[in-house]
Amino acid sequence: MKFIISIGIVALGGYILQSFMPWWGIVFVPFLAGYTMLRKAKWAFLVGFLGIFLLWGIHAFTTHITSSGDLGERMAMVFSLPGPYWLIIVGAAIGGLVSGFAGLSGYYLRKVLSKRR
Amino acid sequence: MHIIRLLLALSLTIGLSIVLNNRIGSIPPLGKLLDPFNGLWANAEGNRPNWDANISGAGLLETATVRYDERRVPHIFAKNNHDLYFLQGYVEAKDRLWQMDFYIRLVSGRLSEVLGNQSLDIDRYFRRLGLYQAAEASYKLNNSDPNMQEATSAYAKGVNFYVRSLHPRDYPIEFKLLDYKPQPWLPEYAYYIRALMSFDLTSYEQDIEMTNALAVWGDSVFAHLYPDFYKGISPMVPDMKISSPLDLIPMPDAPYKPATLLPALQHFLPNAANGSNNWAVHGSRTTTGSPLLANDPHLFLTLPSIWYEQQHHTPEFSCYGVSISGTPMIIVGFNERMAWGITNGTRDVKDWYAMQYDSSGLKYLFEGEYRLLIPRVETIHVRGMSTIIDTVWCTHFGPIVFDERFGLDTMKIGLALRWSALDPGGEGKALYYLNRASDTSEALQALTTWVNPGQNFALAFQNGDIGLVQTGKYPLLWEGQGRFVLDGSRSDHQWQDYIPTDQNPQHFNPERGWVSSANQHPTGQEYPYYYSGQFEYYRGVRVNELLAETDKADVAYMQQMQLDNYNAFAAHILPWFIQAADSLKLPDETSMLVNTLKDWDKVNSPHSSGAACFEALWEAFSQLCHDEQTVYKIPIARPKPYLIADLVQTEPGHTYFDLIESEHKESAFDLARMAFIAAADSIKVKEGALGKSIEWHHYKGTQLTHLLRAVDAFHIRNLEVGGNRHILNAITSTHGGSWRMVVSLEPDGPKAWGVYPGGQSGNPGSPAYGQFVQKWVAGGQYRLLFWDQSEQNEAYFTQTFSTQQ
Repeated sequence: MKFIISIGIVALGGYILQSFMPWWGIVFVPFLAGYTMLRKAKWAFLVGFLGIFLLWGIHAFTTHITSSGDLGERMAMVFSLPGPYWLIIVGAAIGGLVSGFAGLSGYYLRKVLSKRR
Repeated sequence: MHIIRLLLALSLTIGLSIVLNNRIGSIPPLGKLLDPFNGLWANAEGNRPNWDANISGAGLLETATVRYDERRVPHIFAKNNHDLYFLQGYVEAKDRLWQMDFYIRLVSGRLSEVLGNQSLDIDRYFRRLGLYQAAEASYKLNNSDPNMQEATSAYAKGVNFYVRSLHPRDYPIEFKLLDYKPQPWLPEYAYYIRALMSFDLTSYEQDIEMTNALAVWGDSVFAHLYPDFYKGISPMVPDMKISSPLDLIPMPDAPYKPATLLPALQHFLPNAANGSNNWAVHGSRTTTGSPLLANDPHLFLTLPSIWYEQQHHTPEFSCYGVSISGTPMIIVGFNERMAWGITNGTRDVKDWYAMQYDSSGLKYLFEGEYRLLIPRVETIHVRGMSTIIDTVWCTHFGPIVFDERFGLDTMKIGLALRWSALDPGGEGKALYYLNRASDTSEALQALTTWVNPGQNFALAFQNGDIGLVQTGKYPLLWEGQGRFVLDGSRSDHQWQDYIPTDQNPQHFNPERGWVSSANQHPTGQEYPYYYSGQFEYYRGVRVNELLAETDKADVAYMQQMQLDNYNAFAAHILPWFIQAADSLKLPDETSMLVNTLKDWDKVNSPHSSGAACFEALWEAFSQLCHDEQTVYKIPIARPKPYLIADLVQTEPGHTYFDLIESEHKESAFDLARMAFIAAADSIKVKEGALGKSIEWHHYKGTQLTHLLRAVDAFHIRNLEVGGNRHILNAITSTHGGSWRMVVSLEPDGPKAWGVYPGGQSGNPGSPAYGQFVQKWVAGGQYRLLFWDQSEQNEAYFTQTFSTQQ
């Protein structure tokens, strides 16, 4: 449950921060979540990854299906991907990857600091 | 352990954030780009966007509206010229911002700033040409004219106002892919667009190739292969006599002959196929009794299209047509009283001068004395690399473009450039007045300030007049001057005077009842002034043939002419090829090819296999004829196709057909035999790959090319169209009718049709990116909507600009 809530927090945080920051603003919330809330390394990574994967994936998806479709089709070709849905997935995965490592960073920072006490 | 993992995770997070935020080599910043909020997804468009808006803060003098029709053509309703040109800047930026930015960078030699090392050579070339300087000079010259000053500064303000309203997420996708921002727009950029057109239309010449040809062939063979005039040409203005011409300049003795053959230098040249057709038919030969005008400029078919449709409406005038994004005015189109179209004059206005240096290399020889070279230091910022400095040494002729540091390597000469594109001119001003003109005297008066690129203007007026005027400032030349590289040490090799513009080829209301031009010889030999250039033969003949065939021309006939695929060149040479095939004993593999050619109707329709076979045959044959170029490894001018078609029939044993590397003396028949075999083979290979019998459109592979040539996905390929060079429907694999327009100047107002292969939107993600392509491929044209104030309800969306701050 906490797992799901943290994913939601990462996604929401990313959404809010991205409205006034560049894309890498997505790293802050998962970092904090990894630092404060998560008990296992793989959760820290997954929460970060899934939070942004879902945020970016869903936003790209809704953009694509409410559009004429031309952009998705053309840009998928630019990236040599078979179709726009692949483009959505790849994009979401890239954002997710950065966010996942941010989550891991937060988690290990807490580990390192708590060891010192 | 945990510390190590922490450092690893942190460096991955921070490292990826940095790497994905920047462009590395040709890989775009993936993080920025794939961020769906601000990256490429932000450029998606719906099928029917609603862009109705009330816009304030524009700084307009009075309220104005822009009403877009269903094809996203903006109809600008302004109450004064300032607001009109402001809005032209605004609407063009809205649809074509990246294209405009790209054009300025190309002309300025500033592509490397954003594209990196790959564009360094092209930037050096454009810096050495110095076109941006010519643009700045034109700007200074014209800025004293209050109309031009107002128009260009308002245009720039309009562009900048639009750009300022953008969040980076709204930037065109090419900016995001290449990771840079739009630059502020300056009023002088309008003249950079003129420089771009000067480059596209007047930088193709063959002085170096002709100099080499003369050296290779010798005087008498050269004169035979490259005459200035041909029998059977159908000149643009027949019978162009001048009552009191200027005194002609006598040819100097001993013209320049370079010590060695010249290497290939100009790697960036526009296509020789940049030409066009236009014509106007007098009302006495039309069904309506009103004059008809037609134009189809042939240019590199790019995406976004070089053209952008729009209408301008003020209380003073109303004008519809196409412009090139980046400059105010309408370039081809019509107003309530007249219509005009342009074809390229293709006269040679660009000459090379071989300069000899003194021992220091800082001076050049002229008339027995050494003059100081003036340096111009060009600083080229190259993305991802250190800055490059290139010094361009300038003579009184012009800049030395090619020297040992650029192109000429081991040769001890420099080639200086004298080009009328580098002279300031008033083309924008000419268009300003032409957009508002209503009769022949106003039109002629408008065109007097036109310097470069010289165009043939077809004109038709509601009052019934038609005319054709060649514009431009042309040098007074001695016989043969400008065909070859000239001697930069001699004053008699300079341009010594200019032909008065009112003595340029032109005629109004000729007896035959029409005017036309198709890049052919502007005059016959009766014209007193010498000129050379790149002149078309077959299209000139064909256009006049078709216009002579009817005295009841209508819009449909005009449109059909623009789509005429008849291959007059094939009709000229194919009978000889077939006769050769019959007399030579060709191997069996060629029989399919020969039979297809025999059955062919000499029309390059899109599905014709005969056309594909002919082009394969001609390509093979002309390559064989021109073996000297491959063997000597220098560029040599090719004799024109019409000359070769004539030569094979009258002198098949001519030395031109002899292959240098073989001891046997080949004749045209020997080459024909080899060409048949090679062509049959190449067709077989292509058909093997296709899996079926080849048709002309497959062979040709016409495509629309995005300005970023490397981005394959942005091109539109494999258009099912016919035609070719030397055919009225002059579509090659990359060039063709970039705009097709027909206007009927009727008493109750002009009626017009037009189409271009592309779309109003430059956004590859927009459904409007290629919206007109299908229509263009099918040979159709849209009815152009020439609105007045009252037509409120047809607008697709409307933007109203208030005077509020």
